[in-house]
Amino acid sequence: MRDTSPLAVFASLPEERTFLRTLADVRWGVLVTAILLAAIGLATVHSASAEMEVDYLPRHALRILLGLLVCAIGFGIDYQVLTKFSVPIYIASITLLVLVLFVGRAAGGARSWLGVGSAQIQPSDVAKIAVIVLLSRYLAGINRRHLTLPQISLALAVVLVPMVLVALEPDLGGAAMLLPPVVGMLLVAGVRWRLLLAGAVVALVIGAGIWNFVMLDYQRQRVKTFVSPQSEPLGAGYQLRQSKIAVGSGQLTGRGYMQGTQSQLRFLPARHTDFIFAVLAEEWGFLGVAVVLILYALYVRNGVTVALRSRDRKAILLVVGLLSGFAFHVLYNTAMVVGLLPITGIPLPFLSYGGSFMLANFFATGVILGIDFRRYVNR
Amino acid sequence: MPAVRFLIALAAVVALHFVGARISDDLPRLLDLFLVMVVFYGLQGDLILGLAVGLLVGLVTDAVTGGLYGLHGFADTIVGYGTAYAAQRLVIRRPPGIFLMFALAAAAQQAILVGLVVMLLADPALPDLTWMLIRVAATGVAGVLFVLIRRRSLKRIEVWRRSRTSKLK
Repeated sequence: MRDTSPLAVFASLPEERTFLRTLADVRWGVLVTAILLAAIGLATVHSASAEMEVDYLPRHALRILLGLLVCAIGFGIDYQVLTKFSVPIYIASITLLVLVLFVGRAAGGARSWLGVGSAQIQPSDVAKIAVIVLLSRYLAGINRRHLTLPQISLALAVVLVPMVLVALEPDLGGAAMLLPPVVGMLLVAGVRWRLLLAGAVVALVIGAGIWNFVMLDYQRQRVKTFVSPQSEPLGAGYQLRQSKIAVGSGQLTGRGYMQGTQSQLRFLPARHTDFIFAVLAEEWGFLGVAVVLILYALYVRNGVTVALRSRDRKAILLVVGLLSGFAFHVLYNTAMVVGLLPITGIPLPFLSYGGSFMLANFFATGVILGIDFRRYVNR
Repeated sequence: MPAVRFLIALAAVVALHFVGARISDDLPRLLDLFLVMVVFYGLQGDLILGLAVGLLVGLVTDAVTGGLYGLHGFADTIVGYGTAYAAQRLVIRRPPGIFLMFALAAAAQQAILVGLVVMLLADPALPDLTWMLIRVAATGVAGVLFVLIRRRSLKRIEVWRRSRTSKLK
């Protein structure tokens, strides 16, 4: 029987219709999963904010629509052009991070937002992409099986500058999120195991130094609450306790859409942003959570396929960087919500309410699709 | 350099917007200078440039004018892309064609904005139809004037440059 699916129809186009044939061969699963996750996020944000003074549904819907347009821009821009301008993009992102320290808007204990009129952006989201783009260019230019120590140091220096600036806001969670993409890219670019071990030891030493000299009291309290959540059930441990109740009460099929007591009765703080996963778990149960996690896995799998199909080292590194950051966000947020990791302001990609983070994720999706689209051109 | 030129133009449009709003509350309702800028860049026929300029200028419009953030961002991006798409397929040189492009873009922007507001808000405040028609016509006229003045200025600069080089010879 003849296959009449749209992709098969596109694939059967004559040879001269190369544009359409190539378009049909792009890994659209990345975009489909992103849209499905965003749709689930929209419904969950609506439920989580139903009892709030501000209805976040129209704003979030608009951001998803904008995200799709940003995705189109990311798809349209050739990643070679993007990496060509990686240095100005990096400098611009650093400028924004410096600016936020002086004129930024404070929220949640950190001065991490830049606002003009009714608009707000989080420069750390821009910095994440800027670092990945710059490092993909730098690491792709190194024609060696294993990176040398100075090369690794330079790569780490590139990420250290924005990390320090974000940590000064002070947003340690946001600063830490800059690291996973770089680690992923370094591993793919080639790092010796002994250097990795040495790096882990150095990271531990630096971590101890940060705990003693950099972290503020409320940040230390979060970690202590993570270690012993029962110590302060109404204080610092409140958020984690409510989150665990929400996740546990969902059971297999959940309480039902907009029926979650933790979210509808306002027990759970930050339920439309960082703790949206708890709302999802309470209302849709294990099955709902499983569907969302499968969608995330499919997104990453499709992205990995794009990296494997690409023949350009720069493109591979770019995809790996974007996917590493994405996957780490998902892992950290879900682990944080169930109490496996300390609480910090890390949103869930495509689900949490937040403008610049949503746009950054859609842009990354567009770039990944663009890389797949141009894999025969850029080798 | 084009990026710097774009930022200067955007700053000028923002300044003009505030000056207009200070002169009369109706001026920003009458003419959307941000849209004129989006269509002007769209007329260069680059699809990605049309999208990107539409998005950036639209978001700045939202930041400046208030309201639901992203409405103009979305509408202007579509308009920017549409204009660039049309400019790739049509030769738009004469004033009536330019007027039509700007007016159609303004009409499309208004339609998208109304569509979004109706779709997203429970109690949408729709703009007055007469004002919408005036705005479409005003954007068309402003667009034609801007393109013609710019064309004439560029021609004069070119003539002056040529005369200068011939004198030097």
